[in-house]
Amino acid sequence: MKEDILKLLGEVLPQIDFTCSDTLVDDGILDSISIVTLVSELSMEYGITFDLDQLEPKNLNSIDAIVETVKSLL
Amino acid sequence: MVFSSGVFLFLFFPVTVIIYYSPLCRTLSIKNLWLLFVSLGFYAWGEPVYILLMLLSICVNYALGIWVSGCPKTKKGKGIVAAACVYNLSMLFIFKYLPWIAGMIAPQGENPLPLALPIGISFYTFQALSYVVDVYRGKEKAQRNIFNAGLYIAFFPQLIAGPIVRYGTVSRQLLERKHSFSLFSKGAWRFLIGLSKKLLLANQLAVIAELSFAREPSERSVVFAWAGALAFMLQIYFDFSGYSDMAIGLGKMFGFDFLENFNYPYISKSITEYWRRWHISLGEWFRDYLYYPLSLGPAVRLRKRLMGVVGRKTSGILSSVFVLFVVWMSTGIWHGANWTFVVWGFIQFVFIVWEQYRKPLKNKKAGAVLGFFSTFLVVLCTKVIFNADSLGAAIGYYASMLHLSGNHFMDSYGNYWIGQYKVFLAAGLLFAFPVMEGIGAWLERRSRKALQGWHGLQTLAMLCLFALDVCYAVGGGYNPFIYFNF
Repeated sequence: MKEDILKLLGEVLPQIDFTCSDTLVDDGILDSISIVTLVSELSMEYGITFDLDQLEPKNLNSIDAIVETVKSLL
Repeated sequence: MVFSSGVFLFLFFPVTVIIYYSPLCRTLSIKNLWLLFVSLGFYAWGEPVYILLMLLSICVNYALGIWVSGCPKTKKGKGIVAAACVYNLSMLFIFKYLPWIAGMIAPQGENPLPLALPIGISFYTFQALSYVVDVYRGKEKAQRNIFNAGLYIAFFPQLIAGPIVRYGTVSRQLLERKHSFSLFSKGAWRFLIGLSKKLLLANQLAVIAELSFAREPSERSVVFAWAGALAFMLQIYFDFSGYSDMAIGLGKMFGFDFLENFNYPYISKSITEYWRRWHISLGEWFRDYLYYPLSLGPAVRLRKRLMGVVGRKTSGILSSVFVLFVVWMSTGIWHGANWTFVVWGFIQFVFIVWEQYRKPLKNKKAGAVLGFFSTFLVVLCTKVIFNADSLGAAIGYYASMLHLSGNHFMDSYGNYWIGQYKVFLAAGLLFAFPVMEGIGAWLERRSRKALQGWHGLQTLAMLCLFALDVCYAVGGGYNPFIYFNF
């Protein structure tokens, strides 16, 4: 799943290297617009619905955290 | 009451501090009560009638907070949040936008609804609304003590012009906070920086800006038009960030820790970055209470509908653009009931969307340099429409800047005033960038002794600034902060 998500995010947010940091949100690499793009794509791909709580930085700070968040919503 | 006025500096503030730290305010609850009392007095000083509106806002939001705490994240809770939105936003609508709409409908020259705008209503309304929403979301517990709830909404340092403080930032501090000489002196230092920004820079730059904006387009030289726009760009930064510095400093003096509201916005390399550095508390408010909820709900539904028609990629772009449009138009109109703010918000929207979908330059250094200068230019030009009284006045101003209004390139009037205030323009440009921090960091790397000397010099400079501030505060007229109008 991690590879699939990385491939998907690479297509919609090519400017962001999701493997480079464990503090993607905290460091401002992922800003609010990128977060919404990411969430929108993952929602479409996996048919999941994100809640506002899932937009907390700890859920999106790294590719592993993103994968875990998606898994928890499946 | 204005922080930079003599009444505040030499009467209100000393009395508040002396009693706050006196044996009369032994416990934290008495201290909070005292702060609430003086905050209401502070507001009533300028708004003797609208204080009732403020008290009503405290009572309604306090009650809604308690009510919604019994049913967070439920359908009933959603209904209570909707009620909070209706109440708070209708207050804002009635006092801020209805007179404007009525004025547009009424025959020319008539003012059918002469309602004055209650000072700070845009700030305390947003603050109160965020409190109810956060309780509904389960992020915060409801405040059971109405005086503490009142203090959160009405605390005088941030009451009039922000920062828009989230309840989560101060909820614990309302119940337990530490006071120390060190914290107090840090707060006083910060307050002094803000006061100096306002009195020594913003108020001086305002002279150039006001003179330039007041001239007829044909009588405003190109150079004076650009100088006026630059002066206003610097004025509004020092005015508003100065106010935020004073609010943060005052908060510290009473043991509160507010979040930063500015981070050198004019060094930004894009409009998107600029909005992460300018009026941070407003940007974050719109993000958390409008942008994210719209993106997770209506935007997803819109995308699903569009996907079959325009495909996956385009539907993603269109739904994202739709949400950004709503957010930026709301941000624009939040600043004031005038078409100038609607257009200003639309311009921000256009640049932010463009930045999302443009291709970045391959040469990153060149991209950064180009980004910095183009952002500076865009911000400078959009400040013109922000400050203009009407769209017509803004167009006239742009015509002067572009040498299209039959104006001279230079004239003696403009040159005289630029000459008079060139020191303030230069100082404004210097301090709008992190020069002092840069010098401190450079010295830290080179020599500890030099750094100590630099700190000593800064202390001396602050003492001089204090003396100058006192002179300006005593001698100056009434100079309200720009954001008081919002």
